[in-house]
Amino acid sequence: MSLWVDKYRPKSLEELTYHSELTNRLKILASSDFPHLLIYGPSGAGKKTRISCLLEELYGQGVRKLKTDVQTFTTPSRKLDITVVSSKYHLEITPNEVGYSDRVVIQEFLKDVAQTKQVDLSIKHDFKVVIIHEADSLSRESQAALRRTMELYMSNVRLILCCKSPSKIIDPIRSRCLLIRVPAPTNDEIIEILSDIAKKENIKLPLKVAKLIADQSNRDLRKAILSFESLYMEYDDLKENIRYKFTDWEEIINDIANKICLQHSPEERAGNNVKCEILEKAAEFEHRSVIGSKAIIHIEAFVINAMYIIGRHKEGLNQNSMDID
Amino acid sequence: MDIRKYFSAPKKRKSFEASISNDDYLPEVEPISPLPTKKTKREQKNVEKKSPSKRAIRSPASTSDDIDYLPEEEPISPLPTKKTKREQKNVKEKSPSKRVIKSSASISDDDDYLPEEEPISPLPTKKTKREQKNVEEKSPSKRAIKSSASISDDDDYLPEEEPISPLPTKKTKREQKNVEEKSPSKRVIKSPRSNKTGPMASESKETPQGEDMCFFGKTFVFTGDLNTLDREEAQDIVKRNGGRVTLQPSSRTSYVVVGQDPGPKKMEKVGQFKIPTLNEEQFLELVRTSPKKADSNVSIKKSSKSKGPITKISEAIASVTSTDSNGTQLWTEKYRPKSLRDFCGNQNLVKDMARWLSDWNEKGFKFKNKEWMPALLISGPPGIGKTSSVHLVAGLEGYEVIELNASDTRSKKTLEAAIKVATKNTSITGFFNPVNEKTSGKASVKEVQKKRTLILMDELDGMSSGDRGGIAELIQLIKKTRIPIVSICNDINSQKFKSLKSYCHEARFAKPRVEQVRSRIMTIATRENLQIRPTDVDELIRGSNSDIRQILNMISTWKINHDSIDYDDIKALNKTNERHLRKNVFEISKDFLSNDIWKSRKNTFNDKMKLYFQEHDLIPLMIFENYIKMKPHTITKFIKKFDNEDIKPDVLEKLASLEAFAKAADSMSYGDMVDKRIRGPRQEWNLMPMHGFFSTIAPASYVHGFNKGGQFGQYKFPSWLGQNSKAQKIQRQLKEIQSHVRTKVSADKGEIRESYIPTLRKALIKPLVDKKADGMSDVINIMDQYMITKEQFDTIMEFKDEQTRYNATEIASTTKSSFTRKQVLIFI
Repeated sequence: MSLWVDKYRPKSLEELTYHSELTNRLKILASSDFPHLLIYGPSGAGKKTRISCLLEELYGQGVRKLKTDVQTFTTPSRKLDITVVSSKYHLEITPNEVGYSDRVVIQEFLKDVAQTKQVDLSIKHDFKVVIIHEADSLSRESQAALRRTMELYMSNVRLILCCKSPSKIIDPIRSRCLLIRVPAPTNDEIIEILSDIAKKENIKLPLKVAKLIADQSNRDLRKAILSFESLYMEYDDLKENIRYKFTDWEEIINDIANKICLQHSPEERAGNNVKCEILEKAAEFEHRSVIGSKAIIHIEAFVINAMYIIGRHKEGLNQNSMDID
Repeated sequence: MDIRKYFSAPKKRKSFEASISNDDYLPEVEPISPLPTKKTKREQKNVEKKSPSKRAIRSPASTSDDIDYLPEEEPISPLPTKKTKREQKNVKEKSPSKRVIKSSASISDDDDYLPEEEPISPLPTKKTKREQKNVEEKSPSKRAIKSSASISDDDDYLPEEEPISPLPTKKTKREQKNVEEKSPSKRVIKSPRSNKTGPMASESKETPQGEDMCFFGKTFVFTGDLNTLDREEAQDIVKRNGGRVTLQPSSRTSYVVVGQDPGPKKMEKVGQFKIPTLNEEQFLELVRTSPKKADSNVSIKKSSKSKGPITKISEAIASVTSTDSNGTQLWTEKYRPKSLRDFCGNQNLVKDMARWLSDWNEKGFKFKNKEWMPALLISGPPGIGKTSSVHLVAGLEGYEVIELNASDTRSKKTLEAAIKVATKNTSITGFFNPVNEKTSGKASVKEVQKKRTLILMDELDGMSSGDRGGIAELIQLIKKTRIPIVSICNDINSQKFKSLKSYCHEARFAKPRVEQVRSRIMTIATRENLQIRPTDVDELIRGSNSDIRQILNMISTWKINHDSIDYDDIKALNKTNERHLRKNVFEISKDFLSNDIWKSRKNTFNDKMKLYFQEHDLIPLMIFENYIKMKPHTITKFIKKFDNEDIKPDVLEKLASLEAFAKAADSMSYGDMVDKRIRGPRQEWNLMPMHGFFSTIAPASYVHGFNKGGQFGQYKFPSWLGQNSKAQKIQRQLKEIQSHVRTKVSADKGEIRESYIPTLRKALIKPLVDKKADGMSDVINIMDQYMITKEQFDTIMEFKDEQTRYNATEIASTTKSSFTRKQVLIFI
């Protein structure tokens, strides 16, 4: 017994419900020459589901027989462990597991794999597929290390890079891959899938609740299905007027957000000026938190700045007069 | 007069810019006299009285009282003191004509911060000069304008000038003379005084030099903030003039100087004891007018009469001069205590030691219990006579000291060898030396018999890795010793001495109090013919932290080419001899976040930087942890600024704090980015000062003020460290979970936490809550599917969720235990 999200995960390209055009393209790819792929899209859009469906299309049922093992590399400074998920036909790695030393993984492990030819002649394709998860967190050096490997060992190996945003992938890699974007499903698509699951599980799911879940999921299908199941476990009977349950961390963030605003203006909603200023600060501090190392410092700075902005506007003090010189 | 010359004087610290706007009435531009002296003021007053014209002086520009708070922003600080105002009023009343003089001066503070913002504008001032002359030529009344204006200007930059006091060099003086010579109006000013003032030349009238020792015998208490002086400067004035400063008023207090926001407790006592109070002006007036008191020599006699131990000074001098006529000895050797009386402080401990030693022979190693230990462990800060006391007492009691200090190897082996010799043998020096007259009768009796030995283990702190097993061996020694063993260390609380402590008597030497040291230093100074006032000795003692050895070293080197030493010399000496006291993080945080170092103009940017570098890893975190608890100093200014609007004061206060916090947080956010540059892959360690500025100094400059949490112990240790390791632990656990569920789940680490865990946890708990023990198989089924181990199950349970009715706490304890049993069966 597993969670619905895994239970009802599409197993083959045929089962995929939305992005039918994309599904067709993948089908064509699997039947003809198969290039390196760079699959990107927001979380919960179905990237990995599509990859596994694609593999199934390529190799058949065998790709579902997965095993996990830990490979160990030694660098001069430390020992690195990396988990490799593999089937007879493919390998999955997450170089980000080892942080800054991910270059070693690419140079040692991936090259090893790429240099060995598939010997089992009974297999449909004579190349292996290596899936690199979280490719956007690959360091520059390891991306550079990938470049030549991708070309030289094209006959032995095909890479599927999977990431959320292609912006952090260096251009040379992008040009060597076929970029495939997996957009997030629309709310309607999510509702459709939810009611489909409800039907299979024999649960009554009012449209209103489905809509609520879809709205709150932020177009993240994984999250939608999980919170659907969570709600079902919580209430057993999903009535129309149920209260949506946020996850633990969402609840905490909401609390904090309320505190930031409540302290100053409980009744009135923030005007556009305030919103602009806060957004500006948010962008600024998010940027800084990426550059810096201690996220909490930047979060705190943002919170204080936001509170200051809200408070200032509420009291009708404009910005210039506030700076004491 | 070339004003630029003045500013380029070697020790230039201040700059000022004078911008003068002409008024309709007055075409003349008012001059700013850069070097006003006391005399000038007096002169100016005279002129004012004479002057028939009327001038209203307006010193404009927004008043900002705390110029030194926000050094980044160039403050406009024409701070007209009350005095000025009063004078201005006088002028108004007297003069019939209506002229308005507008003068504004903006002074940039602390050039340490923004050296580039040192705007010296020679052009306007030159002009001013010329205009000034015009004024003077035109009419006598104009002079009044000038002087009154210059008064206001004086006042304006007075507070800025003070710190320079010891600095002005000959050049400045010459400059001053030039000024005086060139401008006819100022010639009058020239007076013998101006030369006499010496280092005070450029100091303004506000910090007057009183008559020598004019405050002798008087005790001052300061409370509240003074307008133009900071506390330290005011106290310096008192001390320089021979007065004493105490913290709390008592019946013996002569004056209480009351500033703004005086301490209520102090004021209560003032009422109780009926102590006369002074405000700042009165205080300064007192300095100026107090008559000269007894000179230092007289005072020494006075004090010596009152003090017991030094009654025999003359004898002492005689004896010393007769015995040590060569004078080449180091003072520290020369004045090593020669009798128990010579000790400054810790007298009782020394006496106890003597008693202990004299008892040793009878009790000795026979009694090793709580009351009697065969060994002694002396501890205390350096320079207070620990080693000296042992030598002295041992000499008096007829012991010969075998000293093992840090210059000897004190490993197990060498200790054994040295002690074997010492314990088995008897010293023969006692047989040869004639009986010493100086030692007491009791000792001499013993001495005739034979000299016994005593082992002195000096500088135990120095026992380090090289002296392997040293301490352990020492303990073994103490257990079986037949002779007294005395050990000396500085830091008794060190881990090293933990074991040793239980085998020794402890004698904790404390820092001697000032009055205990004072008499001794005075005696020595008199013997060496060094002129020093007793009140200045106090400063010397305070500055050296009661380290007598250091004081002696300091004054002996001073004596080489000086015959007297005064307060300012001592201050300078102390400064150079200041030992770098290592402060702990809490003290440093307190320094940064409380007002003191920001108010004191003597504390430069560099000093703050040094403070940061003492603990550059922790201090930024300490600031980050504690800044939010502060009540920033900007609040008053902020409230003053917006008070007229209809906002509640408490809201305004909140906003003011928020503003300071926002700025500080912003700066710390920059600091973190710099930190990444330093510690990240780039390793740009040369950015450390920048990190210090952004992460520590700038935020502290925004938020320093009062701590809401009270006076002490309020600064918390950075919780970031704990939280960070907690976060890392969770990350590790998540990674583990992810690698287990990986074959089933497509999510990465973050997505697992965000989406899976809340539902998965519920799925794992629900069967156990609803179906109790029957739900176990369901749960184990899920765990199987996701390949979750028992530890990971527990990890998932640790994520708390207040929203759901399915929490780990809801599981009945019986179910829980049987489930645990089952898990153990399955997984092992």
